[in-house]
Amino acid sequence: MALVDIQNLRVQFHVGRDVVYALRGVSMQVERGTRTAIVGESGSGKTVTATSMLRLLPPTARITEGRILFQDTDLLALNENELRQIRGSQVCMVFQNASAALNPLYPVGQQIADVYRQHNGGSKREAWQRAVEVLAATGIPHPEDQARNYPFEYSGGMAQRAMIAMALVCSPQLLIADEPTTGLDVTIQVQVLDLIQEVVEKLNATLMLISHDIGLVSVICDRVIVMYAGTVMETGTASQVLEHPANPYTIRLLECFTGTDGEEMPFIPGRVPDLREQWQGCSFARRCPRAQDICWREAPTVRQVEPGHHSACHFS
Amino acid sequence: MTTAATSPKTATFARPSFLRRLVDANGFWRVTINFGILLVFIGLGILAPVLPLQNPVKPSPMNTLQPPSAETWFGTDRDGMDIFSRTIHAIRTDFTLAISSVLIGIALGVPLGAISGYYGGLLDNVITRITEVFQGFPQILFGMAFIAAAGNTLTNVVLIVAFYNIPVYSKMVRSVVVPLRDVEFVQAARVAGNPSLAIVFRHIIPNALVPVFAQLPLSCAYAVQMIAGLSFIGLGVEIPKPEWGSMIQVGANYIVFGKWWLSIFPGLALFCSVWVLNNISDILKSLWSRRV
Repeated sequence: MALVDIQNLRVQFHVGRDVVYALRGVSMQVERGTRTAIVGESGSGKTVTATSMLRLLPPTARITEGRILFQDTDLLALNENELRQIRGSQVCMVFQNASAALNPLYPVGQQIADVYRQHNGGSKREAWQRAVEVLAATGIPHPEDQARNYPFEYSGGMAQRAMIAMALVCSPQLLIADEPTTGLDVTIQVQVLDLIQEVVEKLNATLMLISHDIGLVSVICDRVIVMYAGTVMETGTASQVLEHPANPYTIRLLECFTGTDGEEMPFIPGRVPDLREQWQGCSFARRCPRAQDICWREAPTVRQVEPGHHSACHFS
Repeated sequence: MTTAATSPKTATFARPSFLRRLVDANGFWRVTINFGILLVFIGLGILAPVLPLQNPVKPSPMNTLQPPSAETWFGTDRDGMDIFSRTIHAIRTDFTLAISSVLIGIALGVPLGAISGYYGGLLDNVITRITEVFQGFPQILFGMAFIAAAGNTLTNVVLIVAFYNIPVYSKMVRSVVVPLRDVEFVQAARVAGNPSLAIVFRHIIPNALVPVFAQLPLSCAYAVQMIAGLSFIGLGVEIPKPEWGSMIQVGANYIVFGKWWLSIFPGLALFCSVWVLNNISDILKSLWSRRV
């Protein structure tokens, strides 16, 4: 039984008079103990999928269809109170812009201590001790001093470590990391990913890593889900998807990272479709070199390429 | 040097002090004069009972309507009460009433605005519409009606001014809270499983307080004006108690007879305090707008 089972999730955003169809029937499973990456271009629905899971969507969003099962409970059917039991203690999230994810008015250590007390109770002293410990565990130098510092005194990398420390005190079963390395120096990116991997192993948790950077993903993830324009294109183990991609979109996307022998930098011609439109066929058809008539008429169903490796394409 | 190497705290950039930033943004004299006058007012108000002043409420039938002189600096009024002493003592009355009413207004208006802004939807709509209807009434008229209905007591004066401040603060805080609601640290607090009221009080309100502090002196200025205005028309503070509005009202009857000192001194004190409070509000606002 998968830890997370998302079934046919559809999410719309109502922006003025326009309706943006952000997720168009997304189904995915995240198995317990795996480190799953969700990759795709901007607007592919990676973050919307993650925020739907925690029901953090802005008020303009509407979930029109689908179920999100977490340990067999439908997260979409929970009320605010039941949801609170899951947020933080079972599912935790690391944000893209960690500096903005810390409240500027309280010292970092105190914020971590607050989260600790929220879930474990205990005295303020004990919670503070724990906060210093986890800051030390995430490799922040001088943790006693840094715990007393305010978020504006933290660099981007340190703030991300502090966010991971916060996830550590929650000890969740599922950690969602939404572009945790975007905006960090390349040298720090790998360190932060290593740290996330270390934390996930220590907690024996499951990781969902959202990223647009396939290169970084391949460092720590064992499963990959490729998304495009609100649909899932391909799923499989990291080696299946990255080394033997079956879906034309994945193939083109990988070319952009690995490069071909030519002089020019490879790219995918065309652009991501306007998500305000609705279409019948495959969402990648207009950019796909292999597109046939059927691709414009019918949306492809998910086919198994080899065990554990699925692709949504008429020709794979 | 060894401490600098071991402790990162010493290496951090020292933020200029609050006063330093005020002076940088507004100029030395503007800050000094305005805060100086306010401090003089507050100091005189606090020290009034121990200063060598005449009894402010003791009538002296032998010395009515005396012009300013060496013994009675501001002259005496209709009942022979010392106007200098009364003007000073009136600071206590006016400022206490004004500050308490503004604080009550903030205590109720800020949470109301934060809740309305954070939860949005129907609740927000209802709260906003009610405060708008409330603000639609002319202030003094509403005050008169309320006091006529509820009785002419100081408590009622404070309450009416406080009520009038609630929508001011609830609207202001609401406007700051609406964009804060989707800020990442608020989302992070939700992910951490905080109950929503805890998020409002611990994460939202503290981050929405800066404009409240800038507005506070201005509200005090309005409150002083309104309290004096109500007293001027005979509502609120009653005669023997020293209060600027009622003193001006008593003196107004004598201006045509050339007894200018009865109204002019409490009038000047009222003007000065309102002016200074307005300026201080501006000074604080400069700090806020620079921060963004």
